[in-house]
Amino acid sequence: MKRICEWAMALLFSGVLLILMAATILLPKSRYSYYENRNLSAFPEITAESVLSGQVFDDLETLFCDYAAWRTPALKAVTWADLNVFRRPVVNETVVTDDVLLPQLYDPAMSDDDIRAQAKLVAEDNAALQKQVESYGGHYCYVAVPCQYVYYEDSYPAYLTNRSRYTDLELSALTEEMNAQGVCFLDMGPVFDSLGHPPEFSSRVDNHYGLLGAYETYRAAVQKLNGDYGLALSFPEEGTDVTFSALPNPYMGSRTRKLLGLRGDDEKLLTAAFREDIPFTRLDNWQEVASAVYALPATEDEALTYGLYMGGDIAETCIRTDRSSLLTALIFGDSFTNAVESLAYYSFDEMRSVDLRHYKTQSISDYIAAYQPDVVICIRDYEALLSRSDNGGLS
Amino acid sequence: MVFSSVSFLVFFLPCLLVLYFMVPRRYRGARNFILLAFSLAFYACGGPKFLLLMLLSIVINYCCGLLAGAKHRPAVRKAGVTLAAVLGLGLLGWFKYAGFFGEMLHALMPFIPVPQVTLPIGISFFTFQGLSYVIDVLRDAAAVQKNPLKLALYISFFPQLVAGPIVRYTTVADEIDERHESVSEFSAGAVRFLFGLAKKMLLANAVAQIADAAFSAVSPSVALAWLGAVAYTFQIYFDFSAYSDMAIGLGRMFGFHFLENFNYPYVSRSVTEFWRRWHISLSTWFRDYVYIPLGGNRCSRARNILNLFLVWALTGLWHGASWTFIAWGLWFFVLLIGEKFLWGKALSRLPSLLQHVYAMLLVILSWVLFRADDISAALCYMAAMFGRAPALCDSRAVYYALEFWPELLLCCIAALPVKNLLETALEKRNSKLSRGILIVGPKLASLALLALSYCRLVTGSFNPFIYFRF
Repeated sequence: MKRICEWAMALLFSGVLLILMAATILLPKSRYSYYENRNLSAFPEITAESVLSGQVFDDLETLFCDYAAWRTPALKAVTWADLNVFRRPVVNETVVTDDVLLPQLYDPAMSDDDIRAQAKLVAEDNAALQKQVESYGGHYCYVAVPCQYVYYEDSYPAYLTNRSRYTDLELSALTEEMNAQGVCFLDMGPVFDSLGHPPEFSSRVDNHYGLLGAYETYRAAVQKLNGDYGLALSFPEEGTDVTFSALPNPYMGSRTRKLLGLRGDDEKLLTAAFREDIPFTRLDNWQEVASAVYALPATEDEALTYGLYMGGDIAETCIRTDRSSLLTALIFGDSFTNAVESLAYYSFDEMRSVDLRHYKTQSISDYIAAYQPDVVICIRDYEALLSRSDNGGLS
Repeated sequence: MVFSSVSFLVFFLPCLLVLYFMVPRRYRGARNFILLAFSLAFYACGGPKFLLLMLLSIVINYCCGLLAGAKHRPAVRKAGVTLAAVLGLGLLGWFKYAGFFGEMLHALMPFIPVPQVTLPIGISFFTFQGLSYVIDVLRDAAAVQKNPLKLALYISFFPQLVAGPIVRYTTVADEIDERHESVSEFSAGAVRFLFGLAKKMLLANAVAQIADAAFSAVSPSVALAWLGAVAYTFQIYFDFSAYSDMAIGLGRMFGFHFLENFNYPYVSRSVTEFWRRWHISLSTWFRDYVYIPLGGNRCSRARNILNLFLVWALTGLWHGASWTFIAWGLWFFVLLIGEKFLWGKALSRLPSLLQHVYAMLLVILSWVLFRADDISAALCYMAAMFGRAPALCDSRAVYYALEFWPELLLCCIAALPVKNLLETALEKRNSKLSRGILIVGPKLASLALLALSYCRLVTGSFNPFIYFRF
């Protein structure tokens, strides 16, 4: 028996390694890792310098790790064990609670004075932009929306930071500076609170708000613009002008995705249907595409992501409704604009949107100077309020 | 390249196994050549420019070994050893210590620039191995190796090349020429390798995250400081002993038998015992090639203390060009002197549990010194451990305890000789079942650990071996 076991061990050990090698080389591969939402590493550039320094071998190891055979099942196995066997409080940088999946946070390395100084710079940027918009007769509104970790900050376990101190200071500093600079500023946090802080306003499994949160943001922005500037922007009231319905598909939020779909809940994504039919043409980066604001899946089983709204992050989108009596609008920011855009074209003749992270052709200031929209709405989530990178510097 | 990498596990090792075992055993030279070629390739993956340095080290030791051979006059033989020591330690000194001493000189004389030298991987290990060969030739403990490829294989053999154990030439000299690869040896080596891989991938890498967080915390609480120190105590043991396990296992797969490097050091009841169980190949190297030639303990007490001082200062310095490592070495010098001449007898009369607590407390504190960036950071950290902290416990300590409790628990178990106790218990039973478990159990466990390690390997990038620095 001992001899048989030794042979079996030797053969199994060698065989497993050989199978892993063959499978890593031969199995079909995808450059994109869906669960990690990233492109896997590319074959390293081989130069004399990279070889001599050993860098190329480090890069190859990264490549081999990315394309190792059965990597996704391995990721799932490790995540499953972390969730269900070891019951770790944080798995794949996701804080796992009974009700909600949250991002693991670290307190930003910024002093109180740094935060105030940065808030002042952001307010100055927006004041300059508002001045520019108003100089040609346009109207500007800056909207701050709570991202998921702020909306559910009380759900964090006491031993993990929810960044509340930073958030409070950031908001108070920015509000003070925006008011001091006379910027048309709207903070959705207190608005959501005044509506009872309902859980459906923010996703439980994704960084973004739900469509109802986006709808209330849209409503508050319209009310702010109408109130501050005396505009008469139309708004679709729920029940009479617009109805919301849930899609049956499972929702693969960004946190669910980080947990490889092994933990989530029954949250569903909503779509809106206007009572009045509003035909429109849509151009993405000036290429005409289908006239749709929802990237609907082919089947009811296919998992949905927040990319349902406007088809995800696109550098520049233009929706023309050809209703010349209405105003034109530019909505800019990051992915938090997407859900609002899927509703806001209701109010405008032409609505354009620019994603600050992807649009690199010119600055927002130059874009506005060239386009001169009647209404400019900037939407930023609390995490990005003080960011001036990725075209966030505006000018 | 490290053993716990996809490059090694999925490509390097299977290719080597196939090529090596395809060559019939009677072609020993061809098998050795394959091992040598793969060993050089293994080293080159860490930076081919340093391969030349290792080849130079091999040439130095080969030539000096020829000079130190018995056929030469004593003066020539001594000259061979002296040359090997001067050149070998000179290279080690330049590549490892030039920056350190340069900084000290620069502090005194700012016009002297600090040399920027990159530390080649494993230089401390292959320098000591080469030197031990030449010294053993001088002592007639080993025959001169006239075949440069065989000496190159001894010095560059990949399992022990970059992080030990420090293998003596006498240990493997015969096996380079004549060894017996067998299914039994291969199987035992594979099991040992896989247990080492699991120690690294499943335990050391996990607790390293606690240690890194605690040692980089600005103001750790008492609990976090202790948690970090204990985590690092586990990390360094499971990291380094894992490498030794893998090296010993790989060696065995190819028919080599390296000596053990660890023997459950954390069960020690004194610091003296700890050093009989920790990094055995290094402590015996210093004993045989430094301490005893200096006179060992067969001299006056003052001289003995001086000898120990030199050995421990050098042991500290061997680990790295930093005052923390020197202080770490001298910390053990003080403790060993104390146990030898002052409190050793009293210690042995204490209850066993207290002896363990004493030894572990001092060892844990030594690792704080070892891990800290500088002496003042180490003292601040120790102060936090003993109460000079903003709080007794903070949220970070709670989080790391809750996040890594499985690994911490497993570390506690795996640091104890549980495996030996189980084996003894099963051997005592001597039933068919117990014999079956003894034969099949470790193999099944190792294959299961391979699956778990592979999962961790392809899903994580946190993977550095601590002893690659040395």
